[in-house]
Amino acid sequence: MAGVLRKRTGREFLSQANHLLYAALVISFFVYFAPSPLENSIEPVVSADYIGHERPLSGAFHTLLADHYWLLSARRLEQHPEQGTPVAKQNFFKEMKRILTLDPGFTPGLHYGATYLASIYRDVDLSHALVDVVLDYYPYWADLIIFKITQEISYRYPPRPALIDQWLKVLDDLSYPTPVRLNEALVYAREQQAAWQQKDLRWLLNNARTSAEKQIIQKRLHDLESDRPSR
Amino acid sequence: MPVIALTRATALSLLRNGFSRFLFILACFFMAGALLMLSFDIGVRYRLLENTLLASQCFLLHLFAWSFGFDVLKKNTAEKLYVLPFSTSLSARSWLLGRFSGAAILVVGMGLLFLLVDTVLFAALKIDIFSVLMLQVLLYVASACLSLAVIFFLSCFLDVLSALIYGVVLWIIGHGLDELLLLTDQQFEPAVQILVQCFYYLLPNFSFFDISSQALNRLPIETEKLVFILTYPLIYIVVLLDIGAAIFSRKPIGQ
Repeated sequence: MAGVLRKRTGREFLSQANHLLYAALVISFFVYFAPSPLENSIEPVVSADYIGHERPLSGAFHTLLADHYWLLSARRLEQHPEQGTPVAKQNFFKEMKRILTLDPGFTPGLHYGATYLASIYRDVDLSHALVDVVLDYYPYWADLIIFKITQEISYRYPPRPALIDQWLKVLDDLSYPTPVRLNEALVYAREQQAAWQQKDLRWLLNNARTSAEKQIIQKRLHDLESDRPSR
Repeated sequence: MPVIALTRATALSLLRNGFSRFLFILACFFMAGALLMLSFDIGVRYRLLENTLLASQCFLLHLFAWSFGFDVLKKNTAEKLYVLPFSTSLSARSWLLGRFSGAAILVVGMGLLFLLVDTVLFAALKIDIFSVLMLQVLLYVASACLSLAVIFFLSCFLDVLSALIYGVVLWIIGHGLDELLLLTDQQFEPAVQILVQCFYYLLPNFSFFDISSQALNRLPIETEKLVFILTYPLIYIVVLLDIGAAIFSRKPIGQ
């Protein structure tokens, strides 16, 4: 039988000390280099931002689940087209949030969802909330902060200067060349808003997932072009 | 070199097993099934195909690792092969390493076969071959090898079936560790946060190997993170097998 206890020799003691050193080296490697999902955060994430159990439980298959939900969401809208109700808006937001939590890198989904919320449902805050879901995972993604600024300028009049200023500061912190100054952004908002909204709607129309969504977008575009906004 | 001989013998014995052939046929079915996704378009061309390929290859590689691990460990008990380190000059460490390497080599071989299939398919479809997507397949191979090492380690103090079950459970837990850390950071007390941080660093963290979101959306990966992900499984496997061998060498024969 192996493992009978006996007195340790000096050589064995040294060998064990060697093991301790070896363990210390390995532990320091993990503690020093292991990437933590928390250390990248620019600001603390509020608890309401975290949702659901799907992401941890779906293991390595979370992106496949995201595609599945994307198809389900499109099919639901095709079968039960809901137009402009607050419930429809919340359902759309929840579906998009779930998809982006499962696959935060799914940029076509993010752009479609965020633009749809701002253009069709006229809710810039929900649109920003959707972008924030991805920013929780990729806080240094400057394009998304620029996207938020563009949404604010394009869909809210007057845009909130404090918020834009705050995002411009984040871009500065990331050493990202800021596209506009605050006062310029406010001027653009007054002059270009309608044109940007039309451009977004045309993009949505080209990328619509279902014929039901296409009809909703066409109606909104028609309203905007004939200068009769429907809210 | 006894380790190389043992590795070769283990790999050949696994290859001769009928179950390995069944797994190979299953892999062919999965690949053919993934090809059905060619016609689906969800805004990004071939995204569903790539996603299905990645998911099926991940599942298959881990299934291979678990089946091979179970088969090798079952043979150890059935044919009383565990007496070898006690009755010959072979050390417990070499024995465990040889048995592990035999199974791991086949998993790596399957991974390379999947890479070849992906390369041919992507070349035919004019999809970028040298992308993060291929790196993800390599990381699945590393993840499967680590999962195999966990099962070998657990078998040093548990029976074979329990080692397999706990190994699979640890794989599932390991995938959710990054989410668990985020969740506890937002909603729990500091004491719980510290406990979860201990889990995050000490348990085999399979969430490190999951870059599927970056792979499918062609997002870049920081070099520092990549170096870590590639080094992590090597160190973890060496440490697990080392501790496993130490436990095994102190285990009385027949237990």
